[in-house]
Amino acid sequence: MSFLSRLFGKSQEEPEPSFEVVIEVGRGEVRYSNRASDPGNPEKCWVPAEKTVSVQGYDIPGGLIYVGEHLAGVGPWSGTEPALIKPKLPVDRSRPDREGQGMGYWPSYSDIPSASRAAFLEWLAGGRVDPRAYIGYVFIFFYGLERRAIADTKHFDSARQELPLIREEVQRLLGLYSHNRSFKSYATRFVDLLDATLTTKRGYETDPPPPSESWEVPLQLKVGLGHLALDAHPMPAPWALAWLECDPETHLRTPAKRCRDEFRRLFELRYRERYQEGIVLKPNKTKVSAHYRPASASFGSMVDVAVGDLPDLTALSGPVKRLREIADQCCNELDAYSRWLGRNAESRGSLAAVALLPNELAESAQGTEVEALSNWLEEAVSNGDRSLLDASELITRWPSAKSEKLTKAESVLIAQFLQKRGFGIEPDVRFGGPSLSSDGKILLFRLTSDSPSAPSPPYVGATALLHLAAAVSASDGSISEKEEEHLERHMEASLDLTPGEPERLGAHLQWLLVAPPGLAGLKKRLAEFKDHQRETIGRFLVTVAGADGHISPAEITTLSKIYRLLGLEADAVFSHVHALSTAPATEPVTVRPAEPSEGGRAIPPPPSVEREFTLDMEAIAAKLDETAAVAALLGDVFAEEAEPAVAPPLKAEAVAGLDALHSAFLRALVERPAWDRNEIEELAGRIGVLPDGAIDLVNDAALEKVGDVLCEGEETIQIDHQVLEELLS
Amino acid sequence: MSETRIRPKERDAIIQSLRSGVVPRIGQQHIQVGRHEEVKALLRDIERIADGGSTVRFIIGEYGSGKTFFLNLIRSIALEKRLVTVHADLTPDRRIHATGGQARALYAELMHNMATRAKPDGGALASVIERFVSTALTEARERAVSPDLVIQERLNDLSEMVGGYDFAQVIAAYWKGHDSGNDGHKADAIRWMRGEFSTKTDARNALGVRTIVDDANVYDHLKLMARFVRLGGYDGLLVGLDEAVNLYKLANSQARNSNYEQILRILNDCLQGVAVGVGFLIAGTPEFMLDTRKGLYSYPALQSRLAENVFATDGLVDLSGPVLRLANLSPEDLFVLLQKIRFVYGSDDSHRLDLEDEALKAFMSHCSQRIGDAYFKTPRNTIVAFVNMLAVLEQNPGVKWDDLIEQVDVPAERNPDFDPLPDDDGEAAASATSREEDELSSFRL
Repeated sequence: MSFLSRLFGKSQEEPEPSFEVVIEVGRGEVRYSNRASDPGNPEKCWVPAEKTVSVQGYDIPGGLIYVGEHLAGVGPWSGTEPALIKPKLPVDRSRPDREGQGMGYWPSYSDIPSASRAAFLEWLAGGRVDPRAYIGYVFIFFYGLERRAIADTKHFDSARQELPLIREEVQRLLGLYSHNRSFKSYATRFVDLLDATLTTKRGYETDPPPPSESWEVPLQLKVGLGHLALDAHPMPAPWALAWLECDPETHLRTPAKRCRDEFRRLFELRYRERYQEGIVLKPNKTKVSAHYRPASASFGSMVDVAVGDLPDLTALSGPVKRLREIADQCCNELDAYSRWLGRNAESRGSLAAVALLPNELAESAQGTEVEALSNWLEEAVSNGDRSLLDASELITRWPSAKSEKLTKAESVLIAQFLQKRGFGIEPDVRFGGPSLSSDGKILLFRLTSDSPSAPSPPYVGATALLHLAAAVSASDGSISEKEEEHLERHMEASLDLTPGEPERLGAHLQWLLVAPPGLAGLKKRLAEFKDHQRETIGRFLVTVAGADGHISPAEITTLSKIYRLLGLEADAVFSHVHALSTAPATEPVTVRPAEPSEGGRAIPPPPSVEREFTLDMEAIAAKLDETAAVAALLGDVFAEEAEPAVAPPLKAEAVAGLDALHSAFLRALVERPAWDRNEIEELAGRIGVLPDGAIDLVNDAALEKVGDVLCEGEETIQIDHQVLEELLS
Repeated sequence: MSETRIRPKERDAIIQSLRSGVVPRIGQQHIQVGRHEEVKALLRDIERIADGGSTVRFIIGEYGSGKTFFLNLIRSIALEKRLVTVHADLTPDRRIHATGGQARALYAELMHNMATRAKPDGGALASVIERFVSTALTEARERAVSPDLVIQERLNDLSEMVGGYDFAQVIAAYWKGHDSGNDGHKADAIRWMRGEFSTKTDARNALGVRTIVDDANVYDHLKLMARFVRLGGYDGLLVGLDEAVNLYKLANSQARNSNYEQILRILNDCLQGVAVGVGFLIAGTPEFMLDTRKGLYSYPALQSRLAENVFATDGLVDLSGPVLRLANLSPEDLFVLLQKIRFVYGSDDSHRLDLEDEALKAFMSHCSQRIGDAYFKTPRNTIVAFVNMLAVLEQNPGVKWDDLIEQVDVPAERNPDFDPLPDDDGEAAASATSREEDELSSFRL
């Protein structure tokens, strides 16, 4: 039994003198002191790196340890500092416990057996380099470094100056002992913390950290954002994306994961579009602090370590909400592409996949297939604005084409790909044309940048007339040059087309003249319409013909032919034309052109008054209404479907009040417990229903009959088989 | 009550929501207390909507009186009655009328939250469109004509209405996109319907239409949507607008008045039966309506239409007018509510618990000591504490409720409506919290 009393000298932080009485019994100790817990002075125990100390005959080089008789842990209830080496404690030099058999989970130098102490000191004396050392000893040493870096730096300048040294030492230890996962994880996070504290660089000048696997926002990100806010520097796009990816409340949809590269590129584009250089963050009050879980039991629990004096932007929800909006937009834009990849995993970079990318990404897409086709296109269209080719030439260059006649979907893909590369094609399914077939002709032309990808109603009307007119012109076997000229002139004066459409209409006409639509099929289809519908078409055509202000005799001839084709009275043309031309005149009619009179005085020109341009909105609405009706009618006429559009009615027993197709859909769901979104779409396509509508319908039926929904989920759709059984029973 | 089957999903949703202090989105009927007449009145409204009529109701109640709860309850009733519902909170960035895109933002939020019975959690816009197209497809198949034609015929009705022509075009575009496997085209159609196109040029190039949903035609589009859902096989559209106090808080009187003007337009249309199959529920606090300086009453035309029935005082009620006043909960209401929550909590066999009514009383008296009358007037925290207590009791079968009640901590609530609105730019709204701190720290005596 030994009594020991000490009096501490004054330090800045510990102005009151204090003393304590420690009674040591064997290995345990009982402490009495004049204060509830006398912490001891870490500065006095700390051995700096350049000093060598001798403990129980071991000469320990390199310092970085606490040696002394008393030092309390950092936390209020943590007892003696575990890293403190008490020189007076017994050490069993004869049987050093190199395997660490006497070591507990949270080892402390004061508590481990004397044999373990011997092994620990031996490791220290050996320069802390033995790679086979038991990891518990490394940890005891590591505890000391943690304490020095986290606790002592709050009070002592000397400790702060040692931080780089400590970092270096931990990095060295990591090189030796990272095979131990526990040590690796603690030490790595410790190094991260030191890096964040030590860095003098602005965090955002480097790349942002990769998204962490844990829920926590990486410290490096917080520091970078804090610097951005302090400097009022615009947040670069990669940082914005990193923030979003690390935000625990943000859930990015499938496209962001399935096509991560594309998503990143698109995000950066959209971010720059909206915020140019980037969002300028405003500093907030919350400060960045690292939530650090020390390995050492000395701290007792998690500690918050203040990192610099930086605002913690991740505490705000506003900026990340704005970023989320952009991300949502990008996900929507990538949806089609992502689903395609989901269905055809290996087709990344193929022509079809590129066709589905958003414009900006498609323009810069690379790959052998893509470049080969682009080069061919450049060559094909180089000799003029338009170029007429055999469709087979293009189809053979489209690798995914399976047959000579493409499906609608494939034709759309081709048209989309071409458009993204700046080329237009006629016929284009999207503009009401038939799908491509190798025995047909195609017309390639250059597109302007703002070319539409869907027709406006006037365009549909104009093509309808061209179709009919071409059909009529061709009905006598050939199209005369005069007729061609007439059609082209008419086209130019067509209703107000949107930019980009006149070029397409021209190409369309040229294509039409090469392959005029057959009259026979046309007659049959027109016959399906009711009388009043046919009359509507007739009247509409007259309006289109008169769109340029007058109707020429040649136009009347064509119209008469069309009327006959429509099964209307040929005479009706005249009355309709008359009706059109007697529409209320908006300007004085010229009865006799004024003749220049001689002499007299010139009347001063009237003050130019800007006439207010007004339109009869009702008339326009009526006109648009009519256009739409006719477009729908005619769209059907010219859709040259090889197979009938109408699927044969399924012979399925109706389930739960659903129609035959949806009953079939419901039955098909039995096959699996859960469906991928892609699979459901495929299934719906096979049966001939729309996926979302079908799910809503069967769920509604399930609610009606069973009182619970059948399918749940967005990306993966879970089927409640109990409900399904009840529905089918 | 005890016979009603509570689906486990509903139970979990209710308990989860209550625990986090928000109104459950489904299963409200299981914890509805009283308000029988009010619910009956709204039920009649819903039937009127389903019959092709139109209604508008202002749900007026104090903070904590259960406006949002009531709104959600009516919403789920409407869904059950085969209506489509859309709902959104009004905020400074989402208003009925605006010039800076805030009205379009409201529309986008409404469409985002579109719900059907089969999809009560929102995101049902695609389903609604596809249901319409599906029925058109079936008809096309039967008549052996092109689906395009049937869609056009069915939407003919819409074409007469403002913006209806392009609306019909977009639906047709959705079908065309589907038919030709053009997913992008479909997505564009959905974007248009959601009001996400911000320029006409974009919309024209993508869909060939000339108009978009913009600040000026949000209400017209809601009317169109109401007609459309009826064509798709639903019975009508219910529009729920919560937190109308945010209109009241608009500092700019011109902005405020133009919002009230839109409300007047809605009110007139609905009361005169011009709108078809649409109902509006607008929930707000009393000052939103009654304040003659900044509330609805500051707009004379609204004041005359909304003024109380002079005979309906002293306990007499008139629920036929457009204004529906929600009284605060009474201690008795709260008692019944706690009973119901207890029942819902224990409705699942794996969560059995015994808690007699005595315990509920003791709990209430404890709360009343802690925060006074607020415990039943603004019951949010009371309910959170109660559900938490149930959870503790369930997980620790040994614990007696009387030991536990004393430890229950019920913080008093603060009405956020008294917070000032941030300035009009989004920047300030984004960092509102930090600004608040700023204000506190710079306070000097």
